Amino acid sequence: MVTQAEARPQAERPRRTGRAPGRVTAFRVALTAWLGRPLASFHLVLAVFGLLTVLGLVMVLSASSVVSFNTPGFGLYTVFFKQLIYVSVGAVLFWVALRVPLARIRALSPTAMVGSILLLMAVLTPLGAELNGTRSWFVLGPVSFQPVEVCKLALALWGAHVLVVKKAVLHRYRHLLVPVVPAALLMFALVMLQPDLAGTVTLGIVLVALLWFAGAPVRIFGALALGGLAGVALLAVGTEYRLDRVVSFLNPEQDQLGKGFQAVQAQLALADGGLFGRGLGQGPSKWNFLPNVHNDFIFALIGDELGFLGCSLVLGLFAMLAVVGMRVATRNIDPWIRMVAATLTVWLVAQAAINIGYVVGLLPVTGITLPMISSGGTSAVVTMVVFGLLANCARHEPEAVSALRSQGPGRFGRLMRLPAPDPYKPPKKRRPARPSAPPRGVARSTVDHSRRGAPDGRTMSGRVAGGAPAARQKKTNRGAPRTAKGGRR
Amino acid sequence: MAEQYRGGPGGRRPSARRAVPVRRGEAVRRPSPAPGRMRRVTKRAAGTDHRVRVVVVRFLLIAALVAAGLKLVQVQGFKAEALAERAERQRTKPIPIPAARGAILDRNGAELAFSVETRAIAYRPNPQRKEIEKEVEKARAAGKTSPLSFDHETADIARRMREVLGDQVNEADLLAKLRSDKAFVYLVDNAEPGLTRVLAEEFPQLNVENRAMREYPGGSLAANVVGYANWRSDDPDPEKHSVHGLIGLEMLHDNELSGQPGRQIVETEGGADVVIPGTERDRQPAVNGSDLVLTIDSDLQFFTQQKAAEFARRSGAKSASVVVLDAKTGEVYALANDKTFDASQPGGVDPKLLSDPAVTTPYEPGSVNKIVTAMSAIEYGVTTPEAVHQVPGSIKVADRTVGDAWSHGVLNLTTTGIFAKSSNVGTLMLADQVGPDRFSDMLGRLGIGKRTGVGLPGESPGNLIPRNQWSGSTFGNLPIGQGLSMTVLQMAGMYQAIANDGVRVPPRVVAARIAPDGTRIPEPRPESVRVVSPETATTVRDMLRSVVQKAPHQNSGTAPDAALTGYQVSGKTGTAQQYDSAIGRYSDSKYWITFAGILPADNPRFVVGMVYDTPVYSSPEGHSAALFFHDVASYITQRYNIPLSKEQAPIVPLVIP
Repeated sequence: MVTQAEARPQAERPRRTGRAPGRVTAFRVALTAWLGRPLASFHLVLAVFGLLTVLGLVMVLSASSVVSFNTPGFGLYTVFFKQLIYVSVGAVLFWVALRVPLARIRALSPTAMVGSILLLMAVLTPLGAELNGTRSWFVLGPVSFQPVEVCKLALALWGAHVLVVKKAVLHRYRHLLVPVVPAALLMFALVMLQPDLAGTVTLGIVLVALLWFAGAPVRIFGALALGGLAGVALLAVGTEYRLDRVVSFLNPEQDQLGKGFQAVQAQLALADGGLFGRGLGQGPSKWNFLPNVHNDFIFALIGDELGFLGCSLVLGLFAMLAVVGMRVATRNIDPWIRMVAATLTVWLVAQAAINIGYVVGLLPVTGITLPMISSGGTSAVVTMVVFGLLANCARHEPEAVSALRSQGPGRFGRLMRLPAPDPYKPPKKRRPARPSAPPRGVARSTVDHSRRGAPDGRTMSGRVAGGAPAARQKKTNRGAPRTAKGGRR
Repeated sequence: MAEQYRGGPGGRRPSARRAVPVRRGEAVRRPSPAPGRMRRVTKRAAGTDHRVRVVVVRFLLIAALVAAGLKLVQVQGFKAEALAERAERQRTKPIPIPAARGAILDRNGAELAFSVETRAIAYRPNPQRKEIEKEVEKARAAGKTSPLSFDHETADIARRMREVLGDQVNEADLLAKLRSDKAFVYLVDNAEPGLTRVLAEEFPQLNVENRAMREYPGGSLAANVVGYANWRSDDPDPEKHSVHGLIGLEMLHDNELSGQPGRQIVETEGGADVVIPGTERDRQPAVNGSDLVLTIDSDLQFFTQQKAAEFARRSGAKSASVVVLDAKTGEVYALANDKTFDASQPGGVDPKLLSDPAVTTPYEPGSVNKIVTAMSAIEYGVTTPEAVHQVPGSIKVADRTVGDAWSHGVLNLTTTGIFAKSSNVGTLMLADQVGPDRFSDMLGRLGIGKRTGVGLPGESPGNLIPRNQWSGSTFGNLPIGQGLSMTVLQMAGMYQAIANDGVRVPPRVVAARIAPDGTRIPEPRPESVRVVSPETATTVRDMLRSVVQKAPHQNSGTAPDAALTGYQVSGKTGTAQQYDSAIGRYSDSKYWITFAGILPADNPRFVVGMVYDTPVYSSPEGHSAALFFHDVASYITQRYNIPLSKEQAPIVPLVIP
């Protein structure tokens, strides 16, 4: 396993070079082997995280220089330094999120939920500060904090917790919807009072993702989609500036200097970059042409400076995040981790897709930021925490658990002083309840014991663990969930 | 071990396992165990369902990203050219690079005129008023009161402009302009750039435009020569707005002074004129204007202007002009009128003072013109200085009788005496011996009736009747300086010829150009004209020393006041009747009083000419310009440290008893 882990990094490179089918096959085999390593997901999460963070910092530095220059502070670096501080804080929290046992996080999630709802209430009081017409921030000297970002995380963790606990009774609507949906609706209401449409939309995505992965019936989502559309329409028509946004989206050219200005300028910036871009730091769009260039519209500047290639890199990184996040979700066996990993991934990637969608002109302009790349304090910190959790989840894949526990933490883990993850133990309370479901019980008892007991025991105790046994072990885990392991112990 | 597994129950049903939508990386996983199938048989297993849902979501997310990517292909690929062109258009801007206008320097390098960069500050009262009203309205709609108000803003601007710019502006005037009912109004024309930057940062609503201001540090010093230039914005193309000359050398040499403005394409920040670094291109550098070096000596010029004003006042003359020429080179050291405009005055210039009568207004020179006769008579050997002539009280030429300024019987005057005492009769007798043709030739060689080409705009050639149109009486007028006219420059030029040993060098006022790279390009020297032989010149010069001679027994010249202790001075007075159109003949009360002198006569350095227009003839100062000459000449000797003459001019007999 060790050899596999170390030998493969270059295996990914010769992508699509081979003309002969033999090479394609060889490549596929190598890739599959690389992806089969127990820590592949973990490393992929780290890679995506690292690349997005660095790219984000570089682009914020480039995009904010003009804005910084025009505001008092550290000359060209005012915004960048702020972002750097937030990213440093985020890095520490990333490490914390990577290190803290997931069980403890899960245990804390109800508290986090209550706390974040309280914060949302507090921000509406005079404790919160009003900026650009929305009361969304706590401001303490130079530091500002946006509670809605934390709420998204709290909702994801707590919602997953509740739905997993209720797993057995989710087929009844009452249990499926209460208390997650009312709590989320309370959050929506509080966030809309700020008012912050972007935050509400993201929260909504988190809620939908939770319900989806909890296995809610598909017709609920049909209804939700209709309701959501109606709600957006109602809200948009209800408030002048949102209506303006929608109208300007439908016809951006009509009002180039007014509400459609941003949308048109974003297109111009992207087009100006062309295939290869104008070079890092050379984008003219940041010179007061593109409003919020270091924030909502940073993707347009990436297009301007790094061209289609840079944009493709960002798209590719988020696509990879989607793939890896979903891979973590499927390979884990702890239902809570499965749901959390999937939900967090959907949150980040959907947010990125919406942001990129409106920058390129596919969606109406909302204030949703590009995770890890847009400048913005709380958003960056929370996103890094989310990456930390994802990485933590990736370390809880059963193969990873077994590899880490048997082989030690590895170089990165030692460096970060990461504790070995605990293997999943199904909750004890449910055990007596389960055998009552006859078909499962039958399947389990017959197959599991005959097939697995002996090899597993041998692997763990007697032999040096190689890649194959570990992979196989995972396979069996997956094929026979939960109780299979119970049986193993 | 692996074999064992493959052989297990899963090995029998690989195809069934494949039906489950999990495809990737299954090489290792393929030996799927039976439970997968069991689950499906029993009921929809949670795990499988979860996996389907994950796959669906993954598909949706990637599809959204791919959709964005496809849109990017459209925007950055297919539509890129058209959109990028629009992007380029909205940020590129040609900016003119102003060319610095050259300075005008005197012969010692002192600046008579130079340009400084300034800014004009403008405001848009009506649009700004509307804008603020809209803001206030919006705030009111939101249930707040806006801190903005047009009155506050304008008051702030006026107060700060007064504080920053100082006395250049008046707060009340500014307020009136700021609150006027106009779309656009200039508040200040020539504000210092540094101070303007302070104001513009404080009030971004102020519009700032580039200007250049012409500074005339000497005020009215040499204003008649230098002229006047100011910011011209007549051209419909704002890029061509610049400082241009209106009169004087500023106008005549405008092209050389103003240079060639440059141009470059830059990209600017949105909504502002800030140039994005590194975007300058297509640069055509500006060529700065050349400096103009004059022959004028500003100190002497200042003195002569003061003296002209003083003597015009003392003599009661309508005007007075004076010119100082270098005796050898014809360079104009000073060219002054009694009054001229002050180009540095804030209100601009007084149009009544714009003319430069020293070059534009010819006059009848009177007896000063007798030098033509003197030169001809000596040159052609008609007489010698000491020759004695019997001069009657009057003489009849054609149909006219001409008398002397003082009544006398027949006098025995030496040739020197005829000129020193300015006898019309004696001069006409000599002129008669010279003859009209030779006299006419001499006038031509002296440049009378032709522009001197001094290099000033509006120069008058004077008036001289062509030889073929002379009537009988013409030749009775010209030798005594009536019936022809000349400018004070032409008059001084005649004396310059005898001061320079018979070679006349036409006067000029521009010495050289200094190109922007510092090279000095001298103006071409005018072609000099041999008028008389050096001997003749010396003789005439010596003869004319007697004009300032003071001696008993009628042996005094006409202008002993012009004498300068320690120096030999040659000169000639002149008194010309003005033609009075009201009475249709020469007036008996209006005169041109003239004087031309050479300093020092034994080693000429300077030629000075001056004229009063219509002085009070009865007053001592109005009667003769001798005192004026004396003052100017004495200043010149000090200023240029002219060594004293080796010996006093000899007293020569003028009247033989």
